[in-house]
Amino acid sequence: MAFDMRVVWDCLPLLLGGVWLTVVVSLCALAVGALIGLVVCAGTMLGRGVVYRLCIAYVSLFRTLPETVLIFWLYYCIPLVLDHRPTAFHSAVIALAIPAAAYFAEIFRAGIESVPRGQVEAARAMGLSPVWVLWDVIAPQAIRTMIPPILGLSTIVIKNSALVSVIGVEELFYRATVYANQTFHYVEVLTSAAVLFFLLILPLSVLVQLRERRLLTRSR
Amino acid sequence: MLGRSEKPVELAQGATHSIIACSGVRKSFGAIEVLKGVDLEVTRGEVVCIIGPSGGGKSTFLRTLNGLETADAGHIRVDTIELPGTHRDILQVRREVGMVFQSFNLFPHMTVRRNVALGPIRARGLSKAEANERAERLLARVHIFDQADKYPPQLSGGQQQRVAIARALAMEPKVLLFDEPTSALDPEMVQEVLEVMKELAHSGITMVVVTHEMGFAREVADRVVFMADGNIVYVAPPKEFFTNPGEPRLRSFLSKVL
Repeated sequence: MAFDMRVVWDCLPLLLGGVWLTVVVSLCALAVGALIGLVVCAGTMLGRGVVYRLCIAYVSLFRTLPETVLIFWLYYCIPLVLDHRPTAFHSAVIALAIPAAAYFAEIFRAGIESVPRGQVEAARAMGLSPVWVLWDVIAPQAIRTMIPPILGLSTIVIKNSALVSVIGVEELFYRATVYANQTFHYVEVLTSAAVLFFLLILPLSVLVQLRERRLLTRSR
Repeated sequence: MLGRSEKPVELAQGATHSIIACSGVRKSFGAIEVLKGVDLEVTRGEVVCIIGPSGGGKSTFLRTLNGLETADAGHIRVDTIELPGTHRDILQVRREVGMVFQSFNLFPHMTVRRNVALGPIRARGLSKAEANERAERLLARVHIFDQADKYPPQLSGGQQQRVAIARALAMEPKVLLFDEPTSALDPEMVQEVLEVMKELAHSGITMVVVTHEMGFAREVADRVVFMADGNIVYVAPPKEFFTNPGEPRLRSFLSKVL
């Protein structure tokens, strides 16, 4: 069969509109996920008793649950349980954010724990209050080690965002499948979608590799 | 410039009472009792060296003096502040007691100047300009002024430790604690750090130094403390301490290290 470039040009405007929604869904999911992750991380590091156990449970539960299950569950079960129907967009963002938060929590914890104990002791020994110890000494060093895994997580969230097409969010992959079904140009349209995903994620993964190399060569 | 004449009034006032007073300090880690009731007083301007075998509790004792470790029992007074105390007391003690660590613990993401200026800015309320000026003055004092814009990992161990000393001095502490300050250094860098410490000692700063440098203790200390098994076993001026110790455990320790 022939690969028809004209089909690619025809579907491109539609797909690019989808790229926009893919980016919006992913960024929202990452922002919400980072926020929840911060709370969960605080709970695992500072919490006691029930709070601590809940946060640990959150991390292990949502790292094991398939995103697809979560997406379907939120979209179809929430209306039955809560008597409230979230939009497909909201369901999508939350469904992607919840597991992302579990990873964020672990990334934050690992980043903070990677700061050597002596650093904190030196800051405390100077009489800095805990807020300054966190702001001046822990955060700047922790964030540096967090950047590569956060970029990595971002690529995963973007990839997972294709899953929310199943509940009708008109992001890149949804538009590609609908267009392909209507025109039967599966090869051209789905290949185009694949290339667009690749172009979207490529810069991030290159960045990850650069940062990781820099971290490795940085001597203490 | 270094010199005892810098703070004559303070020295005269403080000469009557100790700046550090500890009694019955105990500390356990799990089932192991590391400090078994330590008593020690340090006078203003005094240089006290603590020596003894590893695991004898020297570092732990030093760390109780600025609240990095909380004693399980006993009392510690630093100047006018009593420990155990409130959160605020502990911060206050740490601002009056500088500490120099074995592994330097400089902040690798800040310039050398910022390392030294940070404490005065955050804990003494100095402006950035005032703190930078103080930092540069102190870096000059430890003979490392030309490295102010570098980052700690770019410096040698000896240079890093001198920056750490400047950082501790920047808080204008009443007491300086040194936790084996030369133990992590390559041999050729030990002297440059000891030289700076000697200059400090002669300037009249109160110092408590945990060290394995017997030469330094002999030359600089006003009193030498021998600590073993969580207790202070023997205290004496260096001459008596090293030449004619009446304590058999100290004799056997010295025979191994000298």
